[in-house]
Amino acid sequence: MTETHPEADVTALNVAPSLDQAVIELSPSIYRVALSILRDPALAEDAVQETLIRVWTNLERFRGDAPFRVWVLRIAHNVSVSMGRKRRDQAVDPHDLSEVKASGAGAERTAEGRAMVGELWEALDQLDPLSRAIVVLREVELFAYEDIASALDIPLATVKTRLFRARRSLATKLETWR
Amino acid sequence: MSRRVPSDRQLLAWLDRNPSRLERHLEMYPDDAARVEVLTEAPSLGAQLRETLRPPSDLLDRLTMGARSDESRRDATELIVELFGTAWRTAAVLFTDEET
Repeated sequence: MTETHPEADVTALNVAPSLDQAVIELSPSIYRVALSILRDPALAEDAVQETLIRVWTNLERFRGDAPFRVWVLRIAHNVSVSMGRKRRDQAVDPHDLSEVKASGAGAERTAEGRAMVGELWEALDQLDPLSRAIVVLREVELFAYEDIASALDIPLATVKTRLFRARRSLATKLETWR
Repeated sequence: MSRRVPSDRQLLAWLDRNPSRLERHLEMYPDDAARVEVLTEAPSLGAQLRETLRPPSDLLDRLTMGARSDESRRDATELIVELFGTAWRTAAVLFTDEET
């Protein structure tokens, strides 16, 4: 039996009213997945653009055996991981990104919001990229476990174990914001 | 044959100190995942992650500009800009609603 997220709107995962519209409406989700992996707003934007291009140019390969959203975010994940590898090969010091993290939507936040975001970023930094992607797909994008396993091409038990560990780790930080 | 059911404490101990052990256990007894799910619930996590990873409100404009200025992939990016031009304007309204 498929385990859906309690808040997931199943119809939204499967129905694309118009394909180009659907892809564009997924842009914020693509951005969140990319940012969670890359931790750099500028690179995340590049990843969204690259994902949209790949989605469009590979559209004939979409067989419909997974929801369209899962297929798109699988591409977004692969693009982001690939970009992350390239960046690592270019030997960018990850600590140089600490200030970049505060950019993106940062300027639109209140001081308290920025502080909370900073704390959560610190907690996210303690997780590996795969765990960050898993927690975002589950907690923000409301994916079913099976869809996460499909999108990331990993076993179901791995999805669950990584998610539960990530929650434990992040919840410790969140305690200070209650 | 009955199995020895691990306590909540045992499951959390595996999770914290021996995740591969927990993973093997969940492969054999997937129903126990629901218990760990409850034990690790973090109700406000989704909302705070959403805020932390919030895209800039002008994301669509930035993407359009980025695509237009990408000389190295002119064909692909022009296609994107052309095909999604109308949809992006519509989506901009949707995103504005989503963010507010």
